[in-house]
Amino acid sequence: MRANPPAETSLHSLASTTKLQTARLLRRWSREPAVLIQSLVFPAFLLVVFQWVLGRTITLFSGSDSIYGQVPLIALLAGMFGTLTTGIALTAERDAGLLARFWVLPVHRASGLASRLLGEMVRTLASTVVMLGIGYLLGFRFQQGGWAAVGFVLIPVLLITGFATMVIAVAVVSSGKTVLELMSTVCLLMLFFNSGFVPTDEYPGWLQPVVRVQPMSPAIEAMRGLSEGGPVAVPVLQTLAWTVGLVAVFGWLAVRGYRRAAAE
Amino acid sequence: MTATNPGSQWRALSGRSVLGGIREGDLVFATFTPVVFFVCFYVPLQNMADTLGVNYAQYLLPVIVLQSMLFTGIAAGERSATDALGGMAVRLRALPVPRLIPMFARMSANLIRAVLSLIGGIAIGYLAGFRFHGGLGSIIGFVVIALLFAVAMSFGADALGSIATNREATGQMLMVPQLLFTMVSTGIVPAVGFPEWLQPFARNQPVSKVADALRGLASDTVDATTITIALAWILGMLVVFASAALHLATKER
Amino acid sequence: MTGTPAVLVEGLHKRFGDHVALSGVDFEVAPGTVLGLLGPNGAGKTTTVSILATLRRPDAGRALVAGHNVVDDAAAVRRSIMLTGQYAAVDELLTGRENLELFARLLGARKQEAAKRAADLLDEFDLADAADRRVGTYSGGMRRRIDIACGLVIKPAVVFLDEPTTGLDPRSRQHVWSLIGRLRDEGVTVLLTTQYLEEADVLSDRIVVIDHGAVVAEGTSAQLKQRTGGTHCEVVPVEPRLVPRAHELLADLHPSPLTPGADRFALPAPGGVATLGTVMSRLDAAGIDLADVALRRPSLDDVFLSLTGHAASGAEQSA
Repeated sequence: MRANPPAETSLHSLASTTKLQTARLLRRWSREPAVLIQSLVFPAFLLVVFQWVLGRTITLFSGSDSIYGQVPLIALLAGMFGTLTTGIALTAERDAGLLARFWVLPVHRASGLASRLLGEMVRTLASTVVMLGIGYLLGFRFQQGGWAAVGFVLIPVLLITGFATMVIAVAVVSSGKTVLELMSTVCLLMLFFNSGFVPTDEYPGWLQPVVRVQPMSPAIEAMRGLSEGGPVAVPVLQTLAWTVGLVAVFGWLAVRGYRRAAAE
Repeated sequence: MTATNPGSQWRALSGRSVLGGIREGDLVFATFTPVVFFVCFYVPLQNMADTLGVNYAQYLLPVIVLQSMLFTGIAAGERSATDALGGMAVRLRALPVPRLIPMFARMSANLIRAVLSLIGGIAIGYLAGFRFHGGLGSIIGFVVIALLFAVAMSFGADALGSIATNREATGQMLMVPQLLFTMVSTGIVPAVGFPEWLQPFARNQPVSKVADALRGLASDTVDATTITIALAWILGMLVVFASAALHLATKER
Repeated sequence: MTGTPAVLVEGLHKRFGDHVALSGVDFEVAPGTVLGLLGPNGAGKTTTVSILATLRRPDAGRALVAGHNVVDDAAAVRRSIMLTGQYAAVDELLTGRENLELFARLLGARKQEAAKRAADLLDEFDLADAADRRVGTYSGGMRRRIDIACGLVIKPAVVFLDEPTTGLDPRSRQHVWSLIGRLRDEGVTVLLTTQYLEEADVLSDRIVVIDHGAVVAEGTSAQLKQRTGGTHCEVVPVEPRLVPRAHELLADLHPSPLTPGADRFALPAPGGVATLGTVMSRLDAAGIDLADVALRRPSLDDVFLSLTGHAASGAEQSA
């Protein structure tokens, strides 16, 4: 067989090698029990239990159905926990020399990182749809039409690109695994302090600004607006700002770290 | 060489387990877990309880204490799985150490962990307004019931851990019942908050029943029936789990 | 490309912080030959290979692979090489077939071509039965085979095998050895790093010995052995108590000094078989029976010891 890949700097190469490596990652993740548990089983379990335990009480107090806060919250959480788990798997791929193996192939230099981001987006889309299905069984309904529903599932996909950029930047440094485990704990705490768990007004006054600006809350509010109804433009722009901010801060670190990790 | 003395063997092995817990940071974790979970539920939900005129710290703390006792059980499972899988259990069987000593040593370490969790939980509760309204007797009752619950859970998890094939999997597997019994209990919200079909379970499952007793003891409103039901659950589990653990510890393998 | 070396390395320098990994490495590999890069842990073998494979940039010096500069024209280098690491780096959650197809497609093959090539390689590498099992379930030897096979989905000009048999059982090692022989037969240039002297001895056309980041010797296996002092004759009497007497009888042939309690001694054998004959007839006449007498050529272990002043393995910390 002849070696005839497209020139590795070409856009054609970027598209084809990114697609192939994304397919590898998705195939791999679908076989990794930890990824399935963290991005599907555990969030689904939380969604059901939270709704059972807190659904009535929160609905009663806030006057709006709690499911429109819980489903967005859990969809985001599924994406984030999934990313943290694949981030930990990335540290193992680095240690095993797999990154080096792909680096020395004549593939586009950006395809390694691009395929990871694309993979995270596809995975998040899938887990969001699953959480929506469970939400449906618990009474969740789209009330703003089809386009709003499309917008709804794209919000976690948007936020996860920023979050995944940060996780990759962390995963490729040598102490990455420990930091990622710490980040998992922080994410677990964020689960309780956002506008989806209970409405922001329920938190003590001094904490409300923190709850309101943390990255999950604007995304939750945007998704609430796109399903139950309510403001959309401002929370979407805030989510976009968080995503752009995370990519701006961690993007360069991820690019540099990924290249270095391949050489180790 | 002195003759082997089960008492000093037990002390030596307990010391080993406790030291391991300190080194792995588990004892710090044990103290702070109830603090973190208390804050996570108390801060978002306290306002609603206030509206209803309920002191939420008083209401919530019992289930937080019991959750940390369940975590002690999970740690007990991992501890026993570590011994079983790391070869320590086999090694001790080959020494002139009575069969039950290693298990009792692990249980002492579990009890120490439970005491730390209890201290952490009561401390954060006090900061948020939890109080013992009864006399010394009800404080002692509270502590004894919480620790007995931890011991019962630890026996069960120790038995599971000793036949485990994977330490991490044992811990993760035990997280599921932990979450289910903690959340689907009347410890966080009262039974009326649950869907109707789930209310009987939420009301009658052991964590709810034991939490009722703890809450009653702390608030000095407890009646004999509540205590009896809680103790019946605990002693029942203690008998079943302890006999399983004793059986597995003495069995030829 | 006749005449131009397949790999050319000139004055390669690389340091990591305070640690000097390479301090001026030079060598060449002729097309279609196997070069053994030999050295203890931390000598700089892996650093050299990672520079040649475009994973790292040298601080100074120049390296060409298949005629392409590894710094200025890294993309062209990557089109010409394959790299196998010390640890078999393939996706353990994918099956052997999926891994092969993935690599083939990343190298530009169309879907059907990739499937065909994967099937051929699975047969060729004796992995057809395990083709649809995840690589994570493979034995060490099978893993190394699928790893090498993944590098051969497209025939590369130069193959880098970084300690390809480290940690393998003898049978799997034998298998990898025969693969390397086959690569050479197909005209592929191979750069093999190893800590095993035996491996370099058996497989390499030429050997480069590096230590502390610099080349300490270079040549064919025979040349390197020659440098250590050539052939000698080893004498082992049946009865150890007769060793001093035999030593005395052969004193004019300059035997090495006796080690107290040793059951044997050696002497230089510049005359080869003639020296052997002299030894045998003289001891026979004196009535000393021999358990063994033979001409010995120095092993690469001897070479290594004399070149670097320490034994081949376990002497250095990995960098």
